Amino acid sequence: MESVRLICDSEIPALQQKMDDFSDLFRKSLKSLRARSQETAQNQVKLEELKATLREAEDDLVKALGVKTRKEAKRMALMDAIASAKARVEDLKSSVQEQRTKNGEYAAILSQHSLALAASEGMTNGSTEQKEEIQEAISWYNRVLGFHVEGGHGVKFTFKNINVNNPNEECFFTIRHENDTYTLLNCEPSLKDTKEMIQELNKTNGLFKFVRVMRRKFQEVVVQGSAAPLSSEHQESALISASAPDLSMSSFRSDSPTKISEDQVQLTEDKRHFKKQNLGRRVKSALLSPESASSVRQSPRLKV
Amino acid sequence: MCSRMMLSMYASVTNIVPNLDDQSKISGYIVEKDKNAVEKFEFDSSKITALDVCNEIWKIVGS
Repeated sequence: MESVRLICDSEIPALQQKMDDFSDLFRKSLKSLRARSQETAQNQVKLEELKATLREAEDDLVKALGVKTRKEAKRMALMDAIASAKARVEDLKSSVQEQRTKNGEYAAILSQHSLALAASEGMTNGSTEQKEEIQEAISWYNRVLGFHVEGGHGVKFTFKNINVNNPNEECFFTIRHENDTYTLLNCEPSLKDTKEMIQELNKTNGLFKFVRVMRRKFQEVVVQGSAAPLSSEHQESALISASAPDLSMSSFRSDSPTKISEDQVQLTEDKRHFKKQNLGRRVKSALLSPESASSVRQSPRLKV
Repeated sequence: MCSRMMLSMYASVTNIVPNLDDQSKISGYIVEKDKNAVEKFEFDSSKITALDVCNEIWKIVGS
């Protein structure tokens, strides 16, 4: 027992040493655990802070992603706009090219119109000059021959210089051609044998000679002093109707049977040479050409 | 065109082509179509009255 006790007593210090060691170890361990616990607690705080930071970062990331997405969409829109603008530029280029082509065409058309306008102006000037010459010639007939022709409802032929005592006294008659028939609308002073004259006119269609004969008749009446007031005879003459031949070139030839060529005129003596060639030709052509003769017939204002 | 036709009528009735170059004289040409000829006439307006000139010309063309 004793021995056991001795053994126990001898083991006690060792056990106490172990217990002390263990106690130290435990204290150290506890201390370490405390430290770790504190560190853990601190780490947890840090972790919380980090989590908060992370959440903020995640929010920022989401925001950044949103911004990025919007910018990407904007970029895509810009790309579309650029592509659209490029297409529009191409369209505009082709349009400009087309406009340039049209511009060239219009310039050509304008040039043609300018030329036509210039030509037209030239013709107008020429026409004005021609009209002045014609008017001058007509004035000559009015002044020198006391002879006036006036178109209207029929053609009125007026003569002055019939009465030597009163040269300005006018003798006139108006004749109308309708349905191939001449009718005398009025005659002043009246003449006795107009009925027969009109019948003859409708047979021969020689209007120009008829006019000359009418002037001679006026002269005879005025000289004889036997001019009668406008009688019913002349009203009747307006009703004379007989078939008249067409007022064609042949009928003009009956009054002026042969056409005179310009060469023939130039071959005659110097007294037959026209001084004013242009007017001479114009009047001569008016006198002789079938075209002008038919024009006289066809003109409503000159229709007799 | 109307003036041309009027002129045609004057010329055809009178058979005369006036000469407008010399205004001091009354002159022109009488177209004798049946003879294929043109005859000149000329009057000195200082020596003969306008009435006589007029009737003389009408007398010629009417004959």
